[in-house]
Amino acid sequence: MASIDIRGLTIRFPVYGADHRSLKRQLTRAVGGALDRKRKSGPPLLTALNDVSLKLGPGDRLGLVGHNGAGKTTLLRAIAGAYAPDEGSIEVEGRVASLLDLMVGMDPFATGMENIRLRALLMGLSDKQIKDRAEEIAEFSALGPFLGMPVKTYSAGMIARLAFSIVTTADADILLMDEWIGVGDADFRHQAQLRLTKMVEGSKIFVFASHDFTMLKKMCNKFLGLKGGACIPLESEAELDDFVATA
Amino acid sequence: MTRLPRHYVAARGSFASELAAAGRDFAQSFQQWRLWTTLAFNDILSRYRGSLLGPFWITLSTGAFVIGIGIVYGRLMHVPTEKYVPWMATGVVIWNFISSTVLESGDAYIHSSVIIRSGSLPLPIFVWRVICRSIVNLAHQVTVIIAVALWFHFLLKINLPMLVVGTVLVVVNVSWVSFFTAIAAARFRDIQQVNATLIQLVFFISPVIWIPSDMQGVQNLQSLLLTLNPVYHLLNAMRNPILGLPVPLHSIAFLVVMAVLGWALAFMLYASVRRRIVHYL
Repeated sequence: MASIDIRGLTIRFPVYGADHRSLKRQLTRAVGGALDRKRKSGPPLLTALNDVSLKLGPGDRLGLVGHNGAGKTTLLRAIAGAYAPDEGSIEVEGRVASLLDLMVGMDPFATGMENIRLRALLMGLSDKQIKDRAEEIAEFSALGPFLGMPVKTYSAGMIARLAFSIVTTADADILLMDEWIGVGDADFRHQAQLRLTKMVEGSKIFVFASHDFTMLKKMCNKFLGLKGGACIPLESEAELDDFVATA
Repeated sequence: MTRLPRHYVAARGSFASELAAAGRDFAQSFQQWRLWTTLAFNDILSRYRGSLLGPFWITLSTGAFVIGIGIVYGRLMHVPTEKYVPWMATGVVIWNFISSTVLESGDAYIHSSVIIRSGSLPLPIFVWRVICRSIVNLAHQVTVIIAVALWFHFLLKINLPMLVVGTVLVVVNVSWVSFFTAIAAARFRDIQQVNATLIQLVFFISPVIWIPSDMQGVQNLQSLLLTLNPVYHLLNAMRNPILGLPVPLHSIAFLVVMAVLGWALAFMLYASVRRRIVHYL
């Protein structure tokens, strides 16, 4: 069964190659995580996540809310396995598909079809699986003849369609998404929502970070607020509204 | 129900546990060879998209270099063409492989930063990608060697088994340097500039396009230019079998020791910074 179990997760970013003091000045409150001012040697540390705990099981659709720099993306990337914890632990069971960056592993000069192969390979699919699914991906993306064109000719919405189609066809157990769906048109949003609902019904886990609260409420059944890297569990939609109003 | 893959990471433990984790990264990166070979081939395809000759530009430019330098330098150095051109052509091809691998590996992690930041792929994959790309480029230059060998009638003198051994020694050694460079260049962005300068310098002080036995004064600088110069031994390992010459035993010993020590260091460096590499980008 797919599961995510995060315990006391703290992630600190060493900030290399930036002027210590000017950086401190830039990172004044309201935006960003907590900056550790006590350390004397080494690069300045930015605490992106601070003691975050989270447990998700099959069928959970978690919505992440918080200001820019509150730690939403960092948490998503940590679940995806890109960041190792400085404290605490991350345990993820199941194959993870992430839509954190639309162009991951895509080559703008290659065609849509070639990019399907590249991206699917990156997600760990075998050549046979890719061959079997290419048609389904092509169909869902509704890009038709554009799949033979280089991706650099695509609009942002078309790239989103392509990426979404590949990632959701990969049979992952956990799907991570970071505020992106806005680029799709109404028709695509509707289809994407249907597909996600179907995925989650098949006991998958979905984690979605967004500032679009209508979308969040529509897509998710659990919410987690983040503020300066710390997590604030939100038990109901009412609490979510409160959090949004006060934060 | 099939068991799902499980991914567990905790805070940094002892150095031994980091070494073990680094070992797992390597093992996984080898298992995913299909991924890095595909990425490498796509890189090459992508680089030459829209060009008529494609990767054969590598062959062509090496060929042009060999002909041009062969005609001029052979005479400048008073070395007979049939001795100079085979020596220089093999030297240039091997050198191109060494220098381009080291230089391009500086971008290994930086270029792949988007992929690295959005998933849990084992990091060595991105270095293998660069090395694989370089090997494919090297293969494109083999044509030049064959053409020179045919022209100067030494094709049948090529010692193939020894060439394979020599090539493996070169690739293994260049790989750890690449591994090192990839990490260092991600952390310190000056490394690429330093590298570009160093590589040019090393080209001139190593016997790539000059023959030690035909140069005056080499004996005075014997240790700097030859005995202690890793590039001299790397060149020996691949060039000598092609020219039908024996590979000196001290060159083989030098390369084996360098490979073991170099890889041990590179592996330990990787183990100690593997958690940080993503933050360098």
